[in-house]
Amino acid sequence: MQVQPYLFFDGRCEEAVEFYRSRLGAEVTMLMRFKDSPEPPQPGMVPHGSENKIMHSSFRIGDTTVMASDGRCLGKPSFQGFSLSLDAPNEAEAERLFAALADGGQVQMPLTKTFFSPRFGMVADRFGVSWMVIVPA
Amino acid sequence: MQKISPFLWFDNKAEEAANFYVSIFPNSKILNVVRYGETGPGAKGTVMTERR
Repeated sequence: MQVQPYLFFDGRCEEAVEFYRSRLGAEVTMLMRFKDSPEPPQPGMVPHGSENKIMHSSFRIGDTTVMASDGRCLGKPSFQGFSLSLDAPNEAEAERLFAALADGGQVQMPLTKTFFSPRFGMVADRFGVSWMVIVPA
Repeated sequence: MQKISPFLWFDNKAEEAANFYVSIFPNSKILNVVRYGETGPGAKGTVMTERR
């Protein structure tokens, strides 16, 4: 049994998938637009003009599958109450990943040594998704 | 290999939530609980991190 994160970017999904692909090395395994759906969205579910928005996508980062969508396409993504904790194999890689995620985002806790990790930091990326970069102790 | 784990913020209800999820899923258990000490930022005895 697996638990997988599913992120709703509300209209910025394509930009987000490209960001994670180029910065984190994510490998996109599936991407379906509303216009490609075998069934049209139910009336009122997404605004007109959302045909090219992403209904569903799936990508792999390291060992993890993350899924993402534009959801209702209302242009107001909101990510609250959770973070994605990202394992880095060493301190240099943690620095690189943290800097990549912080580009255009907001550092919540700078990457630093803590009692539970040689390098740990928290950052909200440019889409508002909160990440915790950690080198396991 | 690199891994991403969901981390949920419960604002004082982490223990209740962890117990709830463990009660639902077969073969699940709480691996680790660390509580805040006197210095906070949470109240003493509240849960800082749990792993399942």
